Amino acid sequence: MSMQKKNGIVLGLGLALAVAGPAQGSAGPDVEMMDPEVSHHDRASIRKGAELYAQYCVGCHSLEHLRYKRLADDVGEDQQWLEEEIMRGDKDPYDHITSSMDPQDGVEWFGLAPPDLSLTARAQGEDWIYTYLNTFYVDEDSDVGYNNLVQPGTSMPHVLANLQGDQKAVRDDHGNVVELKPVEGEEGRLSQEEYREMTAQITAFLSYAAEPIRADRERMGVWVILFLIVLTGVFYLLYKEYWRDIKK
Amino acid sequence: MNRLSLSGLQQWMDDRFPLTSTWRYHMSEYYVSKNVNWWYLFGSLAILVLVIQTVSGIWLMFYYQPSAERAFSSVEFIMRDVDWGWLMRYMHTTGASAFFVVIYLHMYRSLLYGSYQKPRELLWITGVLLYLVLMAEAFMGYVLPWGQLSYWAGQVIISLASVVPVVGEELVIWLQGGYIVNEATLGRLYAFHVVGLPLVLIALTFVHIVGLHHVGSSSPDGVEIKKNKDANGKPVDGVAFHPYITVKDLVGWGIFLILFCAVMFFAPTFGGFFIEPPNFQEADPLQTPSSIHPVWYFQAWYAMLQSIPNQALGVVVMLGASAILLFLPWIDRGRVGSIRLRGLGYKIGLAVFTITFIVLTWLGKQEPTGLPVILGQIFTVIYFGYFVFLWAYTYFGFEKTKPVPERVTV
Repeated sequence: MSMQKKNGIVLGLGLALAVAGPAQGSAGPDVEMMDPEVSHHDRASIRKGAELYAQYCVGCHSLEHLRYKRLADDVGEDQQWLEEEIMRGDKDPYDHITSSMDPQDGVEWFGLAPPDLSLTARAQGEDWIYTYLNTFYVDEDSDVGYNNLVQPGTSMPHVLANLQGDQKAVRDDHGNVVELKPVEGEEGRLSQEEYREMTAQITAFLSYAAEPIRADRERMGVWVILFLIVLTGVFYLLYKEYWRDIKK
Repeated sequence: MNRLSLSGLQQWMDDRFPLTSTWRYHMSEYYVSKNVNWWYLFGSLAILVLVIQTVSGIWLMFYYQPSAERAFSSVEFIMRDVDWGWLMRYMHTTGASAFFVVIYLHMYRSLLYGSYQKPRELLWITGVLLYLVLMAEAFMGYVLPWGQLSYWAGQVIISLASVVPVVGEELVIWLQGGYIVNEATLGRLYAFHVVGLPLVLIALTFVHIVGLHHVGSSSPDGVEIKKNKDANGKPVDGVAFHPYITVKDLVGWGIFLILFCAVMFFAPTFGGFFIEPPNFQEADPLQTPSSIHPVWYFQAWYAMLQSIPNQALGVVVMLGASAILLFLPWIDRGRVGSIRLRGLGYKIGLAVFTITFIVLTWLGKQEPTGLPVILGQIFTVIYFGYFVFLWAYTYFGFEKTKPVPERVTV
């Protein structure tokens, strides 16, 4: 048997013995995650986030598991809204939300194809997305001109830079980033609060996209639990009745 | 008797099939100690969970596609496009973890009340076999969604076979149908998960229940109710399984379903313990996730594996740790079963064993360097040490027990 085969076989076992730790994704060390503070029951934020996503994100990032129609139904909007705000072009409402970018172009332009974001909120967490969108900073060494705190060496350019403005990294003696500060003269069109609200809405939308049923299942769950409590109460009375003669 | 009446039908059936006698033997005239407490609920709960898993599993099979190309997206299709698909999926994932919660508590009841002792040794053994099959079933089901952890955990577990002397590496290739986990592996895991192992589970469950109804249920007092019968042959301290125990179990089922639905509707991933975040990324054979570890119910065994530097020894210890359970009825030489009658040493020993299992479960998720490895080794020794202690404690007569009471306490 060749070495290569052997390596293949023991690879998994070796990794199991060598690596373990927190399940959460690939954040840089010691980055404090920011909380978007948006509820998954907040349909207005999800709708606004969807509009922002259609405007700024979908050019590169598809949502291959989410259909246009589903989105419209869940945020309480109609066909017209879909056409004007989300689909923007010749698309079928029953299609999945796809990006017009050819993945090969992504590889050529950024080094890798922009990932599909359908499940990012579940794989990485809402906090991760929100923090990612808020912690781009200018880095001359990077090919795209920016770096990111939660994903060091990110291949994504800061596409929202004209809204947020540029940030620069303040480093300690060891070269670790301790905080981000706005670059003077490079302010964005939005204030810090406005930018945070906007990115929180995009986060809310991506969180929705990762599990469209979430808000509904929680609403449903309340009634199911209430029903089961009543049912269990009936069972308990039945039990008491049957056992009255036995437990004397 | 009117041949068209219900009793006429019953008679017709009974002439051809042991309907009434079976019902009596297993339900209306199967007597259980009337003071069984809530610890005795978990057997019937395990049946409930088995039904939940079977029904939800069949539903998932309608839409799930066991191919490397489509497995992951078919699960998302179930979650989003299939009516109530998300409910079936969460029911199945929650059910998997619930199964282990219930089975662990069910087994623990046996430790508390000596339910594995004579004449229930075979009952215990079929139970442990059920647990082992359930672990295999759960592992194979875990691989099916084809997420990153599904894939890499599958790789790790199958690779354990490489420690078999001489043929180990060939064996791994044979098992996974290739040099890495691939679509062929997925196909066979799927076949075993949905047909092979469920058949074994259901057959063993049948044997387990028939065995139970032959020897009778234990009692919290350690009293064998069959020893004290009235003129009609009914145990004086017994109640009929139906309707008394069934109606009591219904309350337990209700409480269980409340908890089950609370998880299913409000926290189906259970903070990443029941469904782990990396498993929302599709399997990528070229990219190893930053951490690979099994689901919570395997972590005690996994802690043993990862704390032992020698792979082969680690696998042997891990398998030995579950296999040793099979011999428990002969390791424990105690003359009484119930913890209410047993000596102080047994109580302390069981408490230490309980803590050990919980600590090992926690260690299974820690990074295998430094302190967790040392702790893992210590608690692995304590785990096995418990059985040595139990044997010595009971074999050499150190245990001071209370006498078995004549009647059960109510």
